[in-house]
Amino acid sequence: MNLGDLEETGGRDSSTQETAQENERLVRAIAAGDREAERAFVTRYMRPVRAMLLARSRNPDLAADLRQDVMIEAICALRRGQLREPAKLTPFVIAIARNILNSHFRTTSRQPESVELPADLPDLSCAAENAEEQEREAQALQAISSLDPTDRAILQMTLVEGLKPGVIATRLKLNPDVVRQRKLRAIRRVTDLLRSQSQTEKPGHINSGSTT
Amino acid sequence: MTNCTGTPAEQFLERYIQGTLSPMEQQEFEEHYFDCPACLAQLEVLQAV
Repeated sequence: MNLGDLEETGGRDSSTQETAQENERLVRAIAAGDREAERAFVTRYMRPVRAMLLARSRNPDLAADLRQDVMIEAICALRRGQLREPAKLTPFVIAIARNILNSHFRTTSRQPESVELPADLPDLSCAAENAEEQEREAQALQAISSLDPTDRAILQMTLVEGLKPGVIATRLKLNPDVVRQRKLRAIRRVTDLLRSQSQTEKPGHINSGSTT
Repeated sequence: MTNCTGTPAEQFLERYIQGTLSPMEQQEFEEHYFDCPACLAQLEVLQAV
C-alpha cells in the first residue's frame, strides 16, 4: 500500500482541492505584495518546515535556525513570482528547505570545527580596526576576482548595483533560479576563501582543528 | 485543511523518524504532512519524545 492509497482511505480527497485553492490564493496574494498573506504563509509552513528540518538533521537548534532561512527564501521567491504553478506551493517550500539544509551540510563539511576562545584574550579591536578592515577589503576583492566571470558579474550586480535576481537573469539571459543559486554559491565561495586566507595568514590564532 | 485520520503517519512515521523510508516515500510523506495537521501533530509528538 502506498501513500496515495492511504490518503484515499484517510478521506483526504475532499479537502485536497480546498488546500490547492488556499495555496493558490496565498501565492497570488504574496506576489501582489500582501503582507498579511506572508504572515499567513509563515503561520502555515513554519511548523512543518521545522519538523522536516528536524527529521532530516536530528538537530533541534539547527532546525530552529534554518527554518527562518527557509521562510525568508520562500517569501522572497514568492514575492518575485518564481512559483509558476501555485498549486505546487508545498513541494516548492519542501524543495527550498531541502536545498538550504543540503547547502548547510555542504558548507559545514568544508569548515573545520570551531574552538571556543578563552575569556582573557586582549581587546585589540580599536588599535587594529582600520588596518584589519583594509586587509579584509583587499582579501574580499581578491576572492571576488577569482570567481567564475558569470558568478562575478552576478555578485557585482547584486552587491554594487543592488539588482534583483530577476533583473540580473534578464541581463545575463539566465533563469532567475540559476542566478539565485549562482549568487549563493559565489557568496559562499568568497566566504570560504576569506576564511581560509585568514586561517593561513594568522597561524598564531586559535583556529580550527587545533588541539590543546 | 484536511480530514485525514492520521493513517499515513501511523504507517510511515516511525520509519520517517528513523530515516529508513525510500527517497520517494520520504518525499511523499513530507508532501502529505505539510498539508495535513493530523499527521504533522503526530510527527511533532514523536520528535518531542
